Amino acid sequence: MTASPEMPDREKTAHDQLVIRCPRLGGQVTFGYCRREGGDLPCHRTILCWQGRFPVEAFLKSMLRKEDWERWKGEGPKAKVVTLLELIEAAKVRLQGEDDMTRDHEGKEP
Amino acid sequence: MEPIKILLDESEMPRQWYNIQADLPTPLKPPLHPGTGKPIAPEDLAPVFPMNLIEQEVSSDRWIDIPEPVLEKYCLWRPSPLCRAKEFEKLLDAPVKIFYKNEGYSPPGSHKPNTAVPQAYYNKVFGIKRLATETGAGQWGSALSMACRMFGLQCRVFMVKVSFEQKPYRRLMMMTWGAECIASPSDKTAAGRKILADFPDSPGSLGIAISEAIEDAVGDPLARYSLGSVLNHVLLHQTIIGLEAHQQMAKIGLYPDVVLGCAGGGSNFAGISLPFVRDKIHGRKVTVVAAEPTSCPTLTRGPFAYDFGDTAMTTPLLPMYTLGHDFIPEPIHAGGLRYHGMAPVVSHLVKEGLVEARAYDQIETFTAGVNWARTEGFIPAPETNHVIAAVVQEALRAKEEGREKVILFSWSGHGLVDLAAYDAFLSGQLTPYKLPEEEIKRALESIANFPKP
Repeated sequence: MTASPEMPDREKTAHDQLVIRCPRLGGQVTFGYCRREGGDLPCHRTILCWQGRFPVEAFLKSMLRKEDWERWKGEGPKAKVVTLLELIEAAKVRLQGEDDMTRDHEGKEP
Repeated sequence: MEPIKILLDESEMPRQWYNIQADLPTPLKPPLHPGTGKPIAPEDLAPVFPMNLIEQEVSSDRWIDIPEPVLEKYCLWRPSPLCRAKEFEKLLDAPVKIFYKNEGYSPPGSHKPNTAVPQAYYNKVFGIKRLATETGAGQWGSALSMACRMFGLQCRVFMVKVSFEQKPYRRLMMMTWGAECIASPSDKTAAGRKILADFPDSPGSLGIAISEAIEDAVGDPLARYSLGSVLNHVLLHQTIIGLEAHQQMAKIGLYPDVVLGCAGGGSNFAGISLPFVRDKIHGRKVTVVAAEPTSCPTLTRGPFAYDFGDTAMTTPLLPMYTLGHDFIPEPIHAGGLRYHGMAPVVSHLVKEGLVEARAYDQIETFTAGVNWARTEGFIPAPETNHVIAAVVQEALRAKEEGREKVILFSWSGHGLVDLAAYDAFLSGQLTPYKLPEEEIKRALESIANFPKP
């Protein structure tokens, strides 16, 4: 997660050890997992799941850089098929990229 | 003695699935292609699904025949019993008859094989040799592993690493059925390798696992991807639950006042409810409730006071534990149903007013689940506990209203492979919520002038 540089490390991880049952994974996870689930951003359900425990929205807002906060809050829901199409295109690009790298590498072999 | 189990013979099992698209008062808007902005065409999905399943995904036919080879596999555990929860009724001491469709009766112990089996079948007849998928809790991964084995397909399951480590028994179930279960992120895909290069200790996520499964399918012409919830064809296959329940209720001359299901991605909920939503569309009086997870602590922190049961203030004032009918903060109220992981059909039905969404927190749900296990014997899956909490609420409402009700719900799976979650609850690791007092005070202002019991 891209943390706000102003927030001290101790505060960034203040809630990391709290445990909750993740409705997506079906097991216990820590808040530390939720706030990094989306790679550089929290899981989409973070506020929904944690709001009853502590003021999570205010915490994330103060922790994330302004542009990351706005990107995260602004990401509207997508239909699953739309997500699938995006993933298909991304997979094609990755596979093509690996093919190109393999060819380049083989071309350089003595 | 009144019967506890209402059974159907195999010959009485429905021969068709029900597609609610044909009966929707207003049609679902087609999803748009992110690249072109035009409605998604069937061929756009061809890299990951076989065309016979894509046809079901976009179909508006009301009834779709269940192929004979699928019926033969269904017969291993279907028709599932409809059971009367008499002991739970006694505990609640409310004027209700509670019936539940026991979907934990299937080999993997959940409703998931109702779609895993047809998905494996349709891929097989399309000429596919291998299926790839992702799994979180492992219910879906284990169901697909079994289904692939039934039809001679290979199966590769990308299981989120944190679950892979927490749930060895689900992983072993998949392996026992012959599937390859891989911790995600993995080195099998470019997506996984990139994550591992950047974050070697990554615990994974569903987002990464789905990227890996899609890439795995796209990179192999004889492989396809399989999804266990959300999509139209998945919901379609699950309607066998509600269609059977419809027949079983008719056998005893009853019709439910309330139909409930837990809603994660929406397939289990749709399975039990859509045949009854069809009746509702055609004028039958029935309340349909989707129970979903939240962190809202209404039952644990609020006073017992008169309040409306809904935010629209359309129900009579009822005495209940409440934080005010409009307490639920904006991001929480029906949040899961706005969440991108929910089936569009279910969200659409909520928007149309045909389905009601209610949210329950983890303490309420596990309390309900433990009470269920201590009366009815069966230990529910943690997800199933959400709908049991909703059933408790519905029964207590009936008691307050002094009105008899017939309640039907889908008992979507057993929790025998999820006992670690019960351990967390019983040992107090799942702590009660501590909402600030000032927020409770603010919430209760909305009912300050209502009569007190």
